[in-house]
Amino acid sequence: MNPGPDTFPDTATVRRFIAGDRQAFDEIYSSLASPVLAFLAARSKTLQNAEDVSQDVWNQVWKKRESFDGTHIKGWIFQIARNRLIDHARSSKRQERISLEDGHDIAERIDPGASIQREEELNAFRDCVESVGGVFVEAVVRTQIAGESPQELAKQQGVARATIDTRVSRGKQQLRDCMEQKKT
Amino acid sequence: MTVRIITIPDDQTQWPGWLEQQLVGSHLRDLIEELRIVNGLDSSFQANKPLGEILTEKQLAVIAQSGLGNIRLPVIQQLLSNPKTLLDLQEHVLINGGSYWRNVPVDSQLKTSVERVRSKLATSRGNDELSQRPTSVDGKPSTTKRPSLAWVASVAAILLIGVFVWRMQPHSSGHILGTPGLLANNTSSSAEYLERIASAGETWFQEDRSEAPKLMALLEDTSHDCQILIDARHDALTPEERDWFVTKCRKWKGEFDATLASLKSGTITVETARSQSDLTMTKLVAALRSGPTA
Repeated sequence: MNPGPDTFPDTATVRRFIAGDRQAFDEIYSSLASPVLAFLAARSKTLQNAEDVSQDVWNQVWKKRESFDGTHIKGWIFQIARNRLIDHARSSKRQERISLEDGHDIAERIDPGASIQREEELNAFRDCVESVGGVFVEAVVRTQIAGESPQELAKQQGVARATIDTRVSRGKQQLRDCMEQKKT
Repeated sequence: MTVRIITIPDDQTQWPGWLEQQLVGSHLRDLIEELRIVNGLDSSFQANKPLGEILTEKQLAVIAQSGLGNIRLPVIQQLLSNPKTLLDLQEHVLINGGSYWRNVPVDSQLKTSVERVRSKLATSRGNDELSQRPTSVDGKPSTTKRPSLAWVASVAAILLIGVFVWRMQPHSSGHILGTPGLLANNTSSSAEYLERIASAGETWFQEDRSEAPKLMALLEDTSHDCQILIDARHDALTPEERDWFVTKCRKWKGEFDATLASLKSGTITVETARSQSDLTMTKLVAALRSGPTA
């Protein structure tokens, strides 16, 4: 992949879009729908919810094109996405806490109970973390996530470096197996 | 279910690519929840470091431009230890990311969702078009595509003929919105009438606006034309439509006049003036095509 400046949507496409050109809108959708949906999915309870908000966002993008000043279309569309997320959260009877942090951050707190199914999955995952537990999960978390080197951990725990590698590998496998069992 | 953190590659050199895919994919929320569990974090996320403490402005710029490949592993591990920062990082790369990020593969669920939303939009848009779009003489919805060559040629021919009656038209002066016959009440619908003015407005973009004197002259003519539109009877429109249209015209005239005044006084450059007036004309065309019901 070659790094380079993002030149799309280009000025001409944006101008056509503001003027009401549906094809230009479709081009912008093709270019930005995926990042917008990823943004919404990370801040919605389910992907289905994110889809609903996304549809709303793109309808707003079309309707509000006249008020768009023509600069930084990505920022403009993401601002609409942010606003629609807030509106949807407000209108939802579910208790999802959404707040703005410096006018920038929307999902201040992510509720683990995103959906019943997801809640069950997370509970299963918690159980597995506990049941696998001990040195195995610790090795996974400390070396793979917390950033400690396997050598450091080995030294602290008075074991060989190879032991830590084995614990990491077995920890991941046991978590995987545990989750498979929960699924069945 | 797929547990996201188990998908972390054993080979740490693959972590940047793996995390990039999480950031642009549909499961970032899942990953964050799982990281919270294994990290034993409080649900409030209050213990998290802000993104700015983990990544410098320079690093953020590098990431936006060329991904996580140039970021050291301990930094990526810090991000995973502070899950909330992944939301901030995601927002950063999605909004400010360059072409690199458009090429990061996304998961199939996200792709499917994008297509599903596209279908829903097409359906709802189709309904809107049937109820709102201007219709052509034959009753079919008119398109908003850019004018075809044949269409431009037809308009050119009409303009040539129009020169003959140019001075016979009291409402026609200037040369963008003052096209001869533009305001004649010979259309089958108000939508067609507004579309005709919108099409005339689009010719703005064919005018030479490269130098200040030319742009000033064009703005003066267009302002004059707007005044004609404000004063005209618009027999093709209902009283409500006329009120809407005149209100809009006053607004656009105000914008053209303000740009002209700024350009004349030297407070803005010709480039800025062109950009501002292009935007006003773009809005004018879009509003006329959407009509008062939009």
